[in-house]
Amino acid sequence: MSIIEVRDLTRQYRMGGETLTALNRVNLTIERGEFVAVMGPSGSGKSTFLNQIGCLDTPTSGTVLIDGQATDQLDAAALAALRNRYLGFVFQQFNLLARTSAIENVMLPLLYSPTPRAKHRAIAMERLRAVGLAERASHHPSQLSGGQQQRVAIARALVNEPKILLADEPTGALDSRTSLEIMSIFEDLSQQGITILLVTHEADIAAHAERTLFFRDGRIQEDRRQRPVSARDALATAQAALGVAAQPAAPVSNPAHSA
Amino acid sequence: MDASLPYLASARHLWRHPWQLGLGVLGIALGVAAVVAIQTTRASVSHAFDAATAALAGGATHQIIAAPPGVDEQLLARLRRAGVAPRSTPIIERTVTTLGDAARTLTVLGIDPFAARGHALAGAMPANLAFLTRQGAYANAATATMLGVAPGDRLMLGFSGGTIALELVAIAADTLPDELLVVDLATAQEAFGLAGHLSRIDLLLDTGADDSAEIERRIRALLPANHWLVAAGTLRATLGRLTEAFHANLGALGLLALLVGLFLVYNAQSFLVRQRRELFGRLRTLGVTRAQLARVVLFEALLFGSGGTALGLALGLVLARRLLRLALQTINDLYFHLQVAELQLSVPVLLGAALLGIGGTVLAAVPAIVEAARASPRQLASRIAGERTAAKVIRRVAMFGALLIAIGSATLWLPSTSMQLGLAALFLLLLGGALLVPPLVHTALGVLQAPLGALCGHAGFQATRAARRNLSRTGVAAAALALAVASGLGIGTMVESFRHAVDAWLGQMLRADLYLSAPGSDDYASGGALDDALLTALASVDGVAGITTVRTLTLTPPGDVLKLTGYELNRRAFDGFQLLAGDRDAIWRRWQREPIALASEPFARKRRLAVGDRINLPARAGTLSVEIAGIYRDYGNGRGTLAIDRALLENAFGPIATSSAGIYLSASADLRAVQRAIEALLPATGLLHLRPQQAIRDASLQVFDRTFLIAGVLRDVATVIAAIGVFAGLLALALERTREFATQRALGQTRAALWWQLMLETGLLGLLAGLCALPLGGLIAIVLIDVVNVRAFGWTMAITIPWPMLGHGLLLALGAALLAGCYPAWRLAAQPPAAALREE
Repeated sequence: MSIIEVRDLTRQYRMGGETLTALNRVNLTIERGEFVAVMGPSGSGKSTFLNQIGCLDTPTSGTVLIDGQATDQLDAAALAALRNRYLGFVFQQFNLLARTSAIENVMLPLLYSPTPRAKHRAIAMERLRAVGLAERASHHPSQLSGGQQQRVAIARALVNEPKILLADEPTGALDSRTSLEIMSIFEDLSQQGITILLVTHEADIAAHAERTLFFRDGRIQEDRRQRPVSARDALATAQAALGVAAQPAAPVSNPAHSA
Repeated sequence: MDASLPYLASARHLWRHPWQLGLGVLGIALGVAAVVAIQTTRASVSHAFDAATAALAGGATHQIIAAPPGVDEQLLARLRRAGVAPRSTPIIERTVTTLGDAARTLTVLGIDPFAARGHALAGAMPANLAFLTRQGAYANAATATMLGVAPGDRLMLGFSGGTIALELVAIAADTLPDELLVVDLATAQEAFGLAGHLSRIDLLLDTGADDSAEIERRIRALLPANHWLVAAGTLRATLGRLTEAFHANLGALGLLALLVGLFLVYNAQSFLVRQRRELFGRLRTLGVTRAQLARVVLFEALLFGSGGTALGLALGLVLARRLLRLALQTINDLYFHLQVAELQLSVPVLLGAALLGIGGTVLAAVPAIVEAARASPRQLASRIAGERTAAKVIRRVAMFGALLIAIGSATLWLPSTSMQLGLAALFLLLLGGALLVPPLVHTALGVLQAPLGALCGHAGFQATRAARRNLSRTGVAAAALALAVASGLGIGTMVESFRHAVDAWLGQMLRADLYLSAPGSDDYASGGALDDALLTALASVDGVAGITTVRTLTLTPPGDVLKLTGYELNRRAFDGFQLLAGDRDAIWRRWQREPIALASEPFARKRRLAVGDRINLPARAGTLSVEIAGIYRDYGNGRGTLAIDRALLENAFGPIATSSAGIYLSASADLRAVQRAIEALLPATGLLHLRPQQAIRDASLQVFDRTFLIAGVLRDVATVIAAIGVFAGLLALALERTREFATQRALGQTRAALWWQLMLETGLLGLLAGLCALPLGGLIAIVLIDVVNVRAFGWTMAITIPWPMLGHGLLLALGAALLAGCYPAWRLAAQPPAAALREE
């Protein structure tokens, strides 16, 4: 069974008396552990597509099945539980809570899960360690660089051991070296079996995925499978070229998937 | 760069947040409305008072007044013979009431139509002088309509000395004041038992003439003992001054409402600036200068201020109509009769309120303007930097609050009797207390975080954290809410303590079982309806064990108004005096033997008299010198009263009509049977009122409650302003946190959990603001009771803690905050996370 199945997915918006079709009868399946990049020009429907998969929005028609479960059959509370236990989100602007420490940001999804509270801090610390930020656990977002903030966001997305990671332009606000660091983390997660759906408008970022969907006018114009470029190798090359002592980020391990 | 760009960008932002814009403007409007309403009421009352004074003075420059029984009539002839006062008008002025249940108060003015030719009242006199011969009277058309009479109809009116029958013979011109009946001087003298005496002589002196000082000296030389030459309107001006304390209290309440309003204006302004930090940052990056940004914020403040002020002026005038009715009621209950006043639109009041509204808004926007102008483009674009600045501001404001409390406390300790200084201290304490609310709430939230987290799970933990984190934004709304609730509690505690004290005082003071009273307590007349024959008849009614009587007299030496009460007491009635100083038994032993007096607490305080001091009173012949033997509690009269024995009073001033009698029943008597027997003895005019003790007590408390209706209305206005402020604050904050909540929902927070978190957050804020309001309200009550009221009225009382009111105050704060949180919670929960994440 595919982990994501999309059937005739349509999303329309009413704007000033006009109907805009952001997604037009999209059909798609994504298998467990796939690393999929979603590309397309602005307004092509790629972010709308991600929001539908992430149950952050309701479709006008059509169905999304997550691990065989039709999301349109679920009520708001069940959708919240699905987001909490199946899905992890990484946003372009990180969306960390201000004036809240890194570890508290990472603990946030645990608050909505059945995980006993006594374990929250230890679990969050482990995820932070996994993205190389254990020593920054008590820092507030304002005290972290953009790359570090995104790594906290990734740790937060992984804290409930999701099956699917949804990332909307996760490198959009970062420089190229930091982008490579983030992509190498995604690469590790993919190797551990997490399904990744990544929206980007940068071809070199999409090149790290094994499959790329090209959206145009609300439809999938092209569904291309490719040999992914290793982000870890690219990072090492870039660092060597810059003469920086190579110190690649530690491989990210997600206990749920590496076990 | 196009100079209009920042204005356009700002306008679009505001247009997209109409709720916030509307609520901000409404906050200003309500604050301005409270001030306009109160000041317009005060101006209208003053205007009515001045108009009545001027009309009754009839254009006279001076008046000759005298101690009771009044001005010697012979003086007029002496003045004219001496040629010092060719234009002099003898006047008798008395307050009367219509008979029946809905008694109206009127003024009867007795004039000599031939002597009054130069007098302004003569201008309104009808050509028909029939009133000279037939006990006739004239009035203007409005008064005749009010009384339901037409020319030819008869009128029965009551005063303390009895009844007076008049016939309306003509309708005067409208220039004659309302609620005034003019009769011939001789008719008035006869009816009021003032043969040979006048209330006053109105004089029209040429004050610009070189010899005016000499003329005044010659007039004074002609005056008998206890007669005084005073500037016209002196007496009424003295009466007018009595209401100053009342007016000042009103003004204080209005300022309180404005203070709450200004807090909210500040709140709205700082929100609007903080919300646009990123926009301002971008504009700065694009080349907009600091001065240009400051001008944008200033322009907005001016625009808000103007809009809110215009709305506030209109609202204020509507509110003023209601307040004016309440204020007139209070003045008529407590001080003197004042006819119905029209709402007076005073340009200075309206301009002042407009200046306060617009100026206050601009002033409240200053921190926001400084913040927008000072920060660098990078800082402006960073929300975190904004938070750091705000946190620093909270700390500074808290220190400033502590400083204000210190200054306010020091002001209270100053050895002064100034009520204004007392009110100033109260405001410093209030403002200081309000500024301490945000840091106190911050500390409390820190302490509550762990226990609430354990109690309510993640919602408790998150709510305390979020409430604490966002206090730089919600702190001002919390302070305004605390201030409004504290004002309600403080005023409520004061009123409740006062009511409790008055009730206890009435309980002790009203010793008789039945009271028989005549209308008009300040008239000087012998005989009257409650005459000796009637009193003797009452004493012989079966079941009556004893009778006490009260006679009152108002003395008006220049610049003063003294109420003198002559009591014919038994020991039981004497024990009704709640003595604050003096030995009860020793006073009772001396009561009917020596010239001693009991001074009411306000009387003693205002004149700084202590037991053992002597006071000299202008008597009919010479001076009455009495020793203050005791000071008693009296909430019945703000002017102060001097109580003496009846014989002492009548020896000094001649026979005076009994204004009321207390009837004591024997233990076995049936109250209703005695009441019926006494009613059968009373004249059929309906002039005398027989009421059981409980009815007097109830009526007194009714008057009391009416007096404080105004306070209630203004307290409600302040609470509404605060509730709107909290709503506006929480709404703005919730909208600002749209993305934060959307992120939480993306991470798995359910709608119910979001509701629960927001309700907990706003509830905590309301509850803590309410808790802060308790000590602040207590402080207001203590200052109002122990400082302001003592200085204003001379009344002391014990503080009664109204426990249910404290609970009510807490619930009010909690309810207002929860209600204010409902809409933002609903809005955030209803919005799909995807849409919320897209929002800026």
